[in-house]
Amino acid sequence: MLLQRVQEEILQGVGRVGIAARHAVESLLSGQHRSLHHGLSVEFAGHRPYIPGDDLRHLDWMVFARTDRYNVKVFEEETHMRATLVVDCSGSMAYGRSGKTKLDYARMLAATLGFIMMGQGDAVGLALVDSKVRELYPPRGTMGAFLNILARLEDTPAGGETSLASVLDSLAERLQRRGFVILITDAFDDVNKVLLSLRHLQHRKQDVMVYMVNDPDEERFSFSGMHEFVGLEGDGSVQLDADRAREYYRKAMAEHKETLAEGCTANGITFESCSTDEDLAMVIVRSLTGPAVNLRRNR
Amino acid sequence: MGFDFLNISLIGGVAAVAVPVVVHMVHRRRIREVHWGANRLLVELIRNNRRRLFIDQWLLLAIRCLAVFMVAMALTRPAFMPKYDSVGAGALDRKGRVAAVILFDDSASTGAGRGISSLDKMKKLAVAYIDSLDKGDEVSVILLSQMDLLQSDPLLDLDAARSLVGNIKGTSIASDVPSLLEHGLEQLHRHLIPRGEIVLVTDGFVGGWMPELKERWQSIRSRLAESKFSGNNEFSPKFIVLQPEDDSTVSNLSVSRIEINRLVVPANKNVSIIAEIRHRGPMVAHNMWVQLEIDGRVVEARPFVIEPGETRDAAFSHTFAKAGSHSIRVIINGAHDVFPQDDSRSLSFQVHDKIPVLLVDGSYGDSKRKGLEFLDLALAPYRDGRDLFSITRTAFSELSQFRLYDYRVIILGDVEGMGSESLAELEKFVVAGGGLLVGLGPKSDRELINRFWARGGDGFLPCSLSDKREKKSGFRIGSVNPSYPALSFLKNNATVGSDCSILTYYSLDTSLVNTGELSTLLSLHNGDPLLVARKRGMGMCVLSTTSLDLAWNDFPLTPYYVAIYRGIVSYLASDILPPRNLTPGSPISYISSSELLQAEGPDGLAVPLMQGAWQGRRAYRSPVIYDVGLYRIQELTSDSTVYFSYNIPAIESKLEPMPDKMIESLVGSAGYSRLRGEDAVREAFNPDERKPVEFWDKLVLAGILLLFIETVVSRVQSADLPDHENAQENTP
Repeated sequence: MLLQRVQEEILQGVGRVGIAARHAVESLLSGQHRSLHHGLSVEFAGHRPYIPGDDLRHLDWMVFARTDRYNVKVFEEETHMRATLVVDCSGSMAYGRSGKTKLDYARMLAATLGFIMMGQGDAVGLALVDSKVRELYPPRGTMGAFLNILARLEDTPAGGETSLASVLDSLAERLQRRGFVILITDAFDDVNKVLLSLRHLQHRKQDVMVYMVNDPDEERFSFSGMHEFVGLEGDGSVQLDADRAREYYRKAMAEHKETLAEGCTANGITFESCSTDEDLAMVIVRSLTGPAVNLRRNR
Repeated sequence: MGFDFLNISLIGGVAAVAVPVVVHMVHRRRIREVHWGANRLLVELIRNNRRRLFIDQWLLLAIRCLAVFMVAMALTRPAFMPKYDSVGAGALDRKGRVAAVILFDDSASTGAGRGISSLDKMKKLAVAYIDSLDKGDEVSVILLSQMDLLQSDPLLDLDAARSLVGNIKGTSIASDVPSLLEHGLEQLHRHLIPRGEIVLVTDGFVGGWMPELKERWQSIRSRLAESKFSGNNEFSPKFIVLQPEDDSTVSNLSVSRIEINRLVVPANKNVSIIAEIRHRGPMVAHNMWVQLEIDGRVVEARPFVIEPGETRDAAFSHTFAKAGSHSIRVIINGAHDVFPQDDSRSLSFQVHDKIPVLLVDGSYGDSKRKGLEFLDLALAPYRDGRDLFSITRTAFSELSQFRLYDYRVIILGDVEGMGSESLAELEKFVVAGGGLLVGLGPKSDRELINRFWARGGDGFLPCSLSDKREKKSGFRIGSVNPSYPALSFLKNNATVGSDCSILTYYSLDTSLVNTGELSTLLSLHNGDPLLVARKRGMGMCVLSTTSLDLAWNDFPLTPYYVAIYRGIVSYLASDILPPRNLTPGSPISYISSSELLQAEGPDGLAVPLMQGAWQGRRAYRSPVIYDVGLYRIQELTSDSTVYFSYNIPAIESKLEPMPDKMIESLVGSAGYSRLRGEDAVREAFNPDERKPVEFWDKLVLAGILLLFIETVVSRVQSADLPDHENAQENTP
């Protein structure tokens, strides 16, 4: 179902956004990722000077004979990307207008990105997290595995508290191989701790991309009058006059988002903020055509 | 400038101030629940901005309340009313019928004024007040000059009241505001309408308010504050003062006092006449003359210079050749001030050829060192007809043979108890104005004296006797009281009688005598009095606590004995009775055996005299006299003339405006309203003529401005909210 919706709604939508965007996405679909992991392979890439510790089996004795210099042969290896979609399923993701929750939006976003990556022949995995890693599906390159991921993604409900930092730390430990982590969350956690955890992931040789999904209400705080705001993650309730608090809330929200965005940019992490009332295709195009899209980077 | 609401019925609208508060409370009670993801941010937000959120909220509420208040106040049409001073009396708006008691102060000072007198202005004020009354209101008019007469019932005919006020004529009597108010409050009880207004129409000058009468003012205050119908303060009378507008340029010159330097004026001896002239106000007086008239004839006139604010004496000397009644009149010519009535002052006095003195001697004939021999010699040393005092000396037992009224002074020396008839005669003599000097001695019976002479302070003796004190070495005279007129000649001599010794004297029991009534003339070192004086009726009694002879002291042997007792006897003889220096508002009383008398006033017109009585004695009496000047009674049989002097009370010359603060302090919590000028009266009582300065438009403007501020503040707080209604409807 999710796959069908992605194909009907999102990918067609991507087609509608214009020639430049379509070209960009098509290039993604048709492109190959060249790995920068120079290892044992059939395709010769060139020489480099010997460094003590290099495997002596890779020494090119012919060059040594000709030039009397130690050079090591380097081969190019053609690989597939191992992407893990990390979807925040905490209670706060259940908020949304007219029945369309942030989690719904996150599901669609994750499915679309997964579909795109599967189309490139990359391996796609899934992690459903709240205060802990609820489920983890390691990246697989088969369509069967991907359909299974989509099914789990569609079925999983929102609930539990957010503890993004600890979840990311846990993931960093569990993702053994180099790969690509796409985090889709509302990021209502301590920004500094989250940034530390993202760096932890980077340290574990994971390229990271963050999609911050918010509801328009959370952006604009467009309530009026007295309201009791009951936390979706069991974090109590707050009574206040929305009209009086609006300005202060917006400022706090902007600061929160800005801190996260700046922290990500400073660490080479792609950050994309989106609202659930935004056209998902537009969001994807915007994020993939941005200045630092790691999806197109050759490895 | 008063403050009032022209549309007071809408004052309830001010309660609308509560509307924003109620809306706020209702708004707070209508809480909608939202299941919210970003609660973490809200908690932080509240923690960091609690105070600012609170201020924002109440600031907005305060602005809204103020805006509503401004608009509600504007509907009541607040306005500043034209000036009238009101302290605690509330507005002068009337609710229903009014019982008005108009107290008209027609005292002498109301004659002051240039062109138009204060009296005429006051009459117009009173008429303006009567005009403010409606048909059915009750009004009484009480004049100061007639307040002692039986007051008539309140008038319902306002035209009659206007006519009554229009016929008021000026008098020369002294103002007496407390009495006027007391009569007004009394008259108020004769009114049937409960809402009273006590309206004092005055010239606004300080004279006559008598703030020193604290007890009377206390009583007036409480009566003004109390309701005619007890328990209902709504009907306590309003006290309103009407006066002409203040004039700070009022200047007045007056002859404030005339004195002769002798207590008793003898014939053929030169006397000094001193006239005190006072200049109040800023006007500079030029080309002034002071003129002295004796018995109606000008005897001296001289230029006189006095600066504004100054008080100076004009001194004259004169010798009266003939004994009998005489008059002095000092006139300021060319004063050109606002109050010419007090530019002259007169004095009637008696020039004596002989002063008859009766010495009643308890030791008469015993020896020269006993009895009143010393005093006899001191008063009449020459014995050849030159002496001023004509002495008759008699034994105590023969007192009943003498007609006491033939003597000006009676001296009792060491007498025993006397018969009741003599006692009654002596008391009548003193009460009717005679002078009595009593000296104690060995024959004095303390019990009898205290019982019949002193009578616990009610008898003719100044006070009761206490213990007899004796000392062989003698007591010394300690101090003299030179402020007492009889001893004023001792002003510069503090060592009177320091060389004499008082062996025996009676101490005095003054516990039953009011403080201030008893004057001590001489006292001993130990503080006990030696000579005391007290006014009894119209006369005076001086008591010597020791003997007048050598029996108990050696004072007769000292040089001061003669001077002191001549001074005391002169003082006792100085009062002429019935009095001849009178205040306007009192009649002339004259005792004469002659039936052929003719009286005339200062204008030469005859004054009627009727048979009457004065202090129990047959006397001729005139009607009450209000005009100042010299009056004369001529005895046609003896061709002698007696002068009577009427002067404007000195306080009436003090044309200083009565300060508001003083009225406040006198009236206290009862409150008063003070209206100056006819316009103020009309405006105060007739709202249509008040021409109030309304400012409702400014309040509306302020309300709109506040609403604008409220909108801006709200807009800032709800910045960029696309659609409130929509947002509320779509709230999850």
